[in-house]
Amino acid sequence: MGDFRLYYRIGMAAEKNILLDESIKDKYHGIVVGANVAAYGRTWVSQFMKTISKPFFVDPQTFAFQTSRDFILKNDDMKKSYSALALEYGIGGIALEDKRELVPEDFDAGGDVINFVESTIEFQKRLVSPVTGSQRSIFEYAEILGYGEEISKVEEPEFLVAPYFYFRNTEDPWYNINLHLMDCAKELFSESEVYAVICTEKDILLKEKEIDRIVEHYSDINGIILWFSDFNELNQEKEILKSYIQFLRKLSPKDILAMYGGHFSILSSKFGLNGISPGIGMSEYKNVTHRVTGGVFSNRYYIPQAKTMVVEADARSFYLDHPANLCKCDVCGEITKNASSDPNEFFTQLTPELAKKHYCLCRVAENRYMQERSLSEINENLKNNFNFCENNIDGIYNIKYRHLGVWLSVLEDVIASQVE
Amino acid sequence: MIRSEKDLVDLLDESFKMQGFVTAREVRMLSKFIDLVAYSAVDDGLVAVEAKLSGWRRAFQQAMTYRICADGVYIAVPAGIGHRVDMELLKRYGIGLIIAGEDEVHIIFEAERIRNSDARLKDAMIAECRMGGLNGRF
Repeated sequence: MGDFRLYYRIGMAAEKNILLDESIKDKYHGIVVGANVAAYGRTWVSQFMKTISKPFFVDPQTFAFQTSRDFILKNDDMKKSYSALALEYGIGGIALEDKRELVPEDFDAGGDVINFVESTIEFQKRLVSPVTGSQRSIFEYAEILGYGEEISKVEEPEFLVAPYFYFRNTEDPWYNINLHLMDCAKELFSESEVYAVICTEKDILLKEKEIDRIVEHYSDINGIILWFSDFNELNQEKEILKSYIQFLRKLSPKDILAMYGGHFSILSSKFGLNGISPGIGMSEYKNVTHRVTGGVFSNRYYIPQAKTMVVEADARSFYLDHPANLCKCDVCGEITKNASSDPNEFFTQLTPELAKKHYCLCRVAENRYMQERSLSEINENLKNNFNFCENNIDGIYNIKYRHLGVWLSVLEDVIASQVE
Repeated sequence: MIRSEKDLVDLLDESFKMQGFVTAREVRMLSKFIDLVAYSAVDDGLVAVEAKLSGWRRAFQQAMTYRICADGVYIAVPAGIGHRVDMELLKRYGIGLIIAGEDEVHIIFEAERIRNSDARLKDAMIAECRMGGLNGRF
């Protein structure tokens, strides 16, 4: 499938500017948009997709109607974005009138399944397509002018995503429903590339029989998007991460993407992962039942040495003592050039938007590094970062870095097993 | 008798006020909340204090962050755990140590004057102190 692909998940209209920025735009592969965001903000999302003209895919977000309704409720009413989506998917009767979540029995009747699959995928196909009369006219005019091919390139998603639900294990009724939905999607949209989402618990990675069953059942699909609930790479134990790598290797050579993902996922490109799709400086993992709540907004900064985001106050504290270690990316380099490497001045000038651009550029640089270097070189680099943090951060600054040691240990085991 | 972190901060607050400082509690600094800030108009000095009943290292890490807005930073712990504190570590980074007894506090060693704090953040802290001092809100 070629290079490792960075997709960014767009959630807010304000993020458009970051992704459209000339210094960023050509350095990531594409966009992922949640179907709920697309359903509620269709005009700006479709306009944005046309403007940015990059590959994209739509996360159908079907699981949201299955899990605890807390996830999609606001003051006991369904959030507007999910209400709009329920209507698009033809499940308004269940979600809005009966006010209940989907249950496995809802998929017993075959006709409903076909309608559901068609609705979810047609929604993805139509997201950027010209649907109104005036839009169609503009499209036809663009074709006359010779821009038709360029527009049609972004007209449809890079691939379609079959509707999916969370399953606890392969005995869970939702597991078979997922397989059925995937098969239906492939059959109904056989002319297109259809990907499946595996949305489950990370503990399943430790159960070899379960993993083998999943690999076998998903053998007929070319593309898979992995979402292990609450799979925060910074907190995972070594065995889970090693099993994750094993799983990727078993699924390979399929096109495998992570629904979210951070630095360890980029590193996993060496083992068969082909892309990640986090938010910009956030959402590198997500719990399936997580309810998004408000909170105090705080500017966050990605610390390249520790491969983690920290709140501005903690980043400032560290760089106050280590100004020479301020990042040299295009965004940070420009600020330090003007701010004379004074960390206080640096962070005064670092707007939330610039902090996000810095995050994007760091991810791009990490991705490039992974693709150009051998596993041994990557291991050495990780070791250097870990040692730097041990010597300069440990017990002094409020910056987590222990995950680097766990990742290092995973890599060393993998390298050792390859030598054997 | 210090039973809670509030008791500890009460004692510190009282002590700084007795020395002519105006004080404010739970002052927001970026995304953090500083247990106690104390301002002296005499030398335009702003002190930030992180108080902990236990877990001095956590207090130290928090105190390190407060250096970006204050002229001097202390951690304060009850007498019972004072002996556990790595005083050399605190001194290396210029953080002062306050140990609280039953009804009085002792500065074991002074905080070093911070030269590179952010003047804008410091001004915001001073404004909080003045409001706290004038309105008695804190």
